[in-house]
Amino acid sequence: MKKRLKSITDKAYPAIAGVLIIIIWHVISAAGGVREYLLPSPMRVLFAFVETLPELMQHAGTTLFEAFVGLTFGIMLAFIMAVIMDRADFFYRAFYPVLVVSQTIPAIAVAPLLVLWLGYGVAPKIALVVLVCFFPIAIGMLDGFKSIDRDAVVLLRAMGATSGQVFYHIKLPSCLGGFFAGLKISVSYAVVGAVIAEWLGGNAGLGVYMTRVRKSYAYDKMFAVIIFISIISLLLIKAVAILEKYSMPWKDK
Amino acid sequence: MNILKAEDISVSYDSSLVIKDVSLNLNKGEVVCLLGASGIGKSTLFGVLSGVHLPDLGRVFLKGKEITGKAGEISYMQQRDLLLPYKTIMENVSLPLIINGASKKDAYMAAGAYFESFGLTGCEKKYPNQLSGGMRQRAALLRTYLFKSDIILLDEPFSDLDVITKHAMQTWFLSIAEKLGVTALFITHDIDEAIFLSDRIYVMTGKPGKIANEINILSQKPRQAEFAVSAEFNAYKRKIMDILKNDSFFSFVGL
Repeated sequence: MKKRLKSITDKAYPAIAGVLIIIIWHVISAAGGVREYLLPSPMRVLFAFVETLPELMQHAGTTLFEAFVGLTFGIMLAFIMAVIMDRADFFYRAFYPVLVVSQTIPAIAVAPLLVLWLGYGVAPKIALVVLVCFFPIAIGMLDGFKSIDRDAVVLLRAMGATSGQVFYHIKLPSCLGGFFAGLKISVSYAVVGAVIAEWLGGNAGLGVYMTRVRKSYAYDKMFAVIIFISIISLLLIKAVAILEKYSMPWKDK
Repeated sequence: MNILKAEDISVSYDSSLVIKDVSLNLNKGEVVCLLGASGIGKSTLFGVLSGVHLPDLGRVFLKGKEITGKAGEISYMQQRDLLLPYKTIMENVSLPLIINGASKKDAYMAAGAYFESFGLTGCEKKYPNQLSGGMRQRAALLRTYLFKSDIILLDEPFSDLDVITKHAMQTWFLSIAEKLGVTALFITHDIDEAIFLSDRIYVMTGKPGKIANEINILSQKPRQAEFAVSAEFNAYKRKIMDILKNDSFFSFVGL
């Protein structure tokens, strides 16, 4: 009971803070502190959101497709990289620093190059999503692999386990925690990555729509897209959390 | 029948001798304790018997067949239960069967038959972190038993438990060992535990570690908790303390 009350208050504080920010925003707009076309009032953003929702949904389809395909390839790449780096120390020493350095390259700077190489279709978008997604997952899994209980491995070996069995019974379940920690970061990266790639060209997608409304100076619609993208990211993070709970039932017992 | 036999085992690390000329044997159905202080080389000997370490000298035989340096012939259990946290108790204890190629269904059937004897009924679908320390050790012991039932080596399996749980576990261990006809070599630094559980005790002393004495505990089994406060028990305890008193290993504390 007490725990439940705590969980309600824990959620209440950020909700109150959020409402407060919107109220301040509304007051500033209503008082004419900033020009309406620069910072539309919360009400106008809400109206724009409702009005453009069908369009947003349509464009979201494209963006989500790119994000999911990219994420899937990203996970596969991350898994392969993590397994190789875990098994071969040489690869770990050689490529781990390279990977870390590669993450300092801003995605937005790489995006035009990808468009140049891969054209205006979905390919450059998916490629960018793969690039931004795979790193957190690879690192999370690698940490999981490295954190295994050596004594448990010796025990399984003594029972006659092959290295495949050690991998399946110890390494794989040990990396799930790190995998999900990485995946939570990567899903929001995936959506943002797809949107950034869409800014640079294409026919559909939330990023394409965003550039269109910006060019027509419809800033209320622009805000609506931003909020829509945030909501998608939040829902995806929540979905990963549910998947994590389902995949790791020993965690909360 | 002689199950396990170790002949003149010597092991050294960095050219200093850790254990010297240790010989021991176990007969079928016996519970034998290897008693000695921490650091005396008990666990080193244990490593040799389980085949994880190769001794400098000496040989190990299991049922007449030499197994020196061969892992996977004898099952062993450590102080840490090493239950895998992400597997249920059923998945954990049936793991040795599954690793050796049994189907999930067969392994669960075979393991399930022992849950009652091991006091684990109702824990099949629980995870290790939901169990008490005593239950976890029982689960680990069941997993050890399911791996190889000829003989089990136990390295201080109860030393992390509180004293009350420990007593309960010792009484339980004797009853299950009796029921299943287990042959066990039990490593401990606890004199009371050694007397209470054993048919025989090897007392290890010195530096390098060697077997100073072999004591037969003649008290009838099954033993009840009262045995631990009997005059007979205390007589054994005095005898062991006398042996340990003369140990050069402890000369520095002036015992």
